[in-house]
Amino acid sequence: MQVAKESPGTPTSPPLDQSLPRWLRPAWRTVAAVWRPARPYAFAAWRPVQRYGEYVLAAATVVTVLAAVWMAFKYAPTDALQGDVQRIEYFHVALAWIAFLAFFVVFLASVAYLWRRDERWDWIARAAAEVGTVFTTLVLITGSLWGHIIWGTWWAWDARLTTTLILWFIYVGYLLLRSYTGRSESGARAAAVLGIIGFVDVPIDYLSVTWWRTLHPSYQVPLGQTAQAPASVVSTLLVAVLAFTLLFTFLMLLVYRMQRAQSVAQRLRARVELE
Amino acid sequence: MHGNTVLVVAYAVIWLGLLTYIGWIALRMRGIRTELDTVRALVEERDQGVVTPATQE
Repeated sequence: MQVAKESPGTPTSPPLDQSLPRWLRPAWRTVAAVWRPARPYAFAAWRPVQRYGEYVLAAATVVTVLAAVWMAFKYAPTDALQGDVQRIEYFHVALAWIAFLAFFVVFLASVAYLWRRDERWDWIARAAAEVGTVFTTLVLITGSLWGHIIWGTWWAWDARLTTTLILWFIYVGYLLLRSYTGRSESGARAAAVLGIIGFVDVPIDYLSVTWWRTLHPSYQVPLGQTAQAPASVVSTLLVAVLAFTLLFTFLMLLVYRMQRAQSVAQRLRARVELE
Repeated sequence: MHGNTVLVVAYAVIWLGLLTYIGWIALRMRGIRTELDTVRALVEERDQGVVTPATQE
């Protein structure tokens, strides 16, 4: 089979930078390199990121968490109706958002695992499910404490609370399944299916406050609309969300590495014992 | 329970819970390190036990 060779004189479509004025070309190349890099994941393999990335992430997490705590207690105003107990909401809401994010990661990684059959996706799903379950547990406990003061009860079979409890049960079930099936391929496949089906509860949980009449407060910052809460309250909430996002990333990294090390250790042991 | 007490309890639960979880991760990591050390010992033991043609001569 002959491959048609391009002769030097063949008019091909000229690169965009050739048609730009000479003085604009370096700026365009920089934009093009950022927009469509040759190796999108090259950043993660960059030596300083490998060596110091974890420490930078840990330091950024600690600083942001301290800033969020300071803002929650000192910067944000005391709620006129609820008093100081409202300050629980900054961390309760941030934890809930990250729990949803964690289960979205489980969903994406499960789909990717079933599609590619690459065990790294399975490690990501497992790590996200574990961290997400811890965050959901904290959401349920802090919500219950807040409800005890505001509603006068530790628990109500309200739509938001019930769907969150169901979500917690789904992911506890996911972790139990992982624990019982070990590191087998069939176990990973079954868990991926559960991770995908289980995610159905996340949008139901999120939208439950608009679909049903609930005790639980609805959104303070509706998407696409102007915030109803004061700017100091919204900024405190956003810093808390950022703090927990960094913490979630850090914990995910730790658990992912642990999963990888555990797999490598078990595989090596099996090989040594067989030989 | 008073509102301020609940606030303190809620923050304590969050941070103690997260610290306990990080501690649990550290413990599991130690277990894996022990597992890897065991595997390394097994490999060394096997390598010492192997009689190569060079050692026979």
